[in-house]
Amino acid sequence: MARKSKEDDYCCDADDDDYEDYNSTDEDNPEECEKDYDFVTEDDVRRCQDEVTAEISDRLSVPRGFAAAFLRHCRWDAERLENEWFADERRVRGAVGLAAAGGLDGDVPTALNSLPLTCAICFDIYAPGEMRSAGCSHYYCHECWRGYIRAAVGNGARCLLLRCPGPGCTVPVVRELVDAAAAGEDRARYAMFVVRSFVEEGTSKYVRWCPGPGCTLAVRSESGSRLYEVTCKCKHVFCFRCGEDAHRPASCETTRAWVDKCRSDGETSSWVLANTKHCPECRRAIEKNQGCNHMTCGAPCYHQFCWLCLGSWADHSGNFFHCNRYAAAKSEFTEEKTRERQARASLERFLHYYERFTAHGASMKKAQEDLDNLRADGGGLYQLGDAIGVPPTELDFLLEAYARIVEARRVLRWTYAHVYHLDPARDNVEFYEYLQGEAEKSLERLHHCAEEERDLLKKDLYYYGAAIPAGYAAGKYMEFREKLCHLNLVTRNHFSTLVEGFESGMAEVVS
Amino acid sequence: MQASRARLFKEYKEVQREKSADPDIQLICDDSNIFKWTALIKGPSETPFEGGVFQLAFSIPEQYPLLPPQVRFLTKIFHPNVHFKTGEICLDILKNAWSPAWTLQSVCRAIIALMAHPEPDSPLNCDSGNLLRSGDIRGYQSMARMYTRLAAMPKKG
Ligand SMILES: [Zn+2]
Ligand SMILES: [Zn+2]
Ligand SMILES: [Zn+2]
Ligand SMILES: [Zn+2]
Repeated sequence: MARKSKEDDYCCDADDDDYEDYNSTDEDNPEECEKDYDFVTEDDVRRCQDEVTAEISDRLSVPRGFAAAFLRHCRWDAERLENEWFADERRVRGAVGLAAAGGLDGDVPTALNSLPLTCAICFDIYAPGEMRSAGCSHYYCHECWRGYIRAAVGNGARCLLLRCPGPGCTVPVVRELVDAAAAGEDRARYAMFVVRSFVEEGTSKYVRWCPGPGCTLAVRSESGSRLYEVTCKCKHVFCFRCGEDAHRPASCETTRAWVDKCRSDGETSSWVLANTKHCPECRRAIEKNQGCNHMTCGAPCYHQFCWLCLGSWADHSGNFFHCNRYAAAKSEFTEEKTRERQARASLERFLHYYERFTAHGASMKKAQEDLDNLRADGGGLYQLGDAIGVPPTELDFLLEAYARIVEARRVLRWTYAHVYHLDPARDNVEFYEYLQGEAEKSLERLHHCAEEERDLLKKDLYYYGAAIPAGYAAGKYMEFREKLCHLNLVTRNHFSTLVEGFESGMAEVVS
Repeated sequence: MQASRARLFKEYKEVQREKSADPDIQLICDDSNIFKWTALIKGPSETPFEGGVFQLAFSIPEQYPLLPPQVRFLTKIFHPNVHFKTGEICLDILKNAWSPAWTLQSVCRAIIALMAHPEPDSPLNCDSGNLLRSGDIRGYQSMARMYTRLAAMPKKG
């Protein structure tokens, strides 16, 4: 398969900070890359499973229910089952609780009684045909089977391992018996567990349910591909390996550790972080309602500062971007007991990363909303386009910029989880932070341009209204467009370098 | 509820009818509550429990027999799979290996079998389990016999 894996998309050269020519070729664009996964519905999964089961049922001359039990035992790998079966049929049968060979009539998944018998569950006597067995000699009445299966199905996926109630009997209760004996809703639940087993216990692990809220789709990857991040049709972006929200460049293990840490410490932290922030210049309370972290206080202060570190914004654009770096505060509490001090220091350290992780997540969400709005109605942009005679199709550059912002915010937030888990004694934390800082700086510029400067442009042009001077609007628009496209490219390159650097772990290669 | 009552009533009649069938087990239903039973079982021969009579308490859920009865020893017993203080029993058929085709009678039989064949690898009584696992059979037997004598035998005049 010559398709490009998604991982390669980030590997373009990105050493050039001032990538001037935004019209340069764009063939590495991830959005245009062919995907190596597709989407399947529960019905598709079921159909696929039914086909495999029917085929095995034919090949081994066993009823479908038993075929499914054998397949499940081999984690739905038909090839493995056939190999094991023809090598040692007794063993495979034994593993699911069936006798070494089928009875005189072959394997029977369910049979009716031919003589009057006492049901060993309710102790009542039943006439011929009023009882069933799972193919063995233990017959129970319909009512008792119904209750037995209902209790098992209520117990979850373990119902797929259900055995005959006869003490010591191992004969499996399979689909045919469930369909014949159970109530409608229990049959449906059993069927659902069968389908789930195919996805969740399947050996190849190449189908995974989308964990998006309310989503019923499954994602199927090319088997053997190095599939990592997946965007579902429901827009949920998740990690195909671990099912968490997409978390590049943090590894699945780091992500697990971070999510656990946030769960245990996040509550205190959220409370600490929820306190309103004040403009560091005039102390006025500031509310953040935009995605970018570049804050400007209202009139008459106009102080520009960073939401995250409250430092002056001037420090964020030059070569001294330190906002992302955690600096352990010099302790002023020398009298405090060491343990307390350490606990405080470790909480502060976590807070530093947690706040940024959360803030970039919020920015990402905001950018996604903006992108959705832009897509839906142009966010007033079509109107603007009209005014200066630009067709809506030409405004795609703005959508692309927003898509970049969403993606970059996601990556950036996970770099904070990654750096938190670095070991300063072993890892070159400074280099990670350098990459992170450069990327973050470029992203903030891009986000600011897409948000605020677009707003300014809009206001500017509306101010003139119908009296807009010829050429003025078009000029302003071109200026904005060029700047945004340029920043988009710069950001893309920074994030390629960032992801590459983080994922390769070759942080020591400092130029 | 109705099904469990009917089934328990049948078990009750069966017990009445076969009173002498199994001399090692005596099942008694509470006079006013068919969901509460007690049983007296004889300690199996050639075990440290021989000669003792042990009392079991059954508490039966409404979903019986789809769910197993809860059983515990009322008589103190030194056995790796019985909690020394609470009398709780660790036995697979009382948990995930339960089948509705088991009866109170067959549960008693399974408990007698457990007394004769302890499973030291899943101990509720660690002292007892450790003695067996370390191969100190005599130590285990003498402790178990002592408790049988103390708790499960009628006091001599
Ligand atoms: Zn019945
Ligand atoms: Zn059976
Ligand atoms: Zn989805
Ligand atoms: Zn993952």
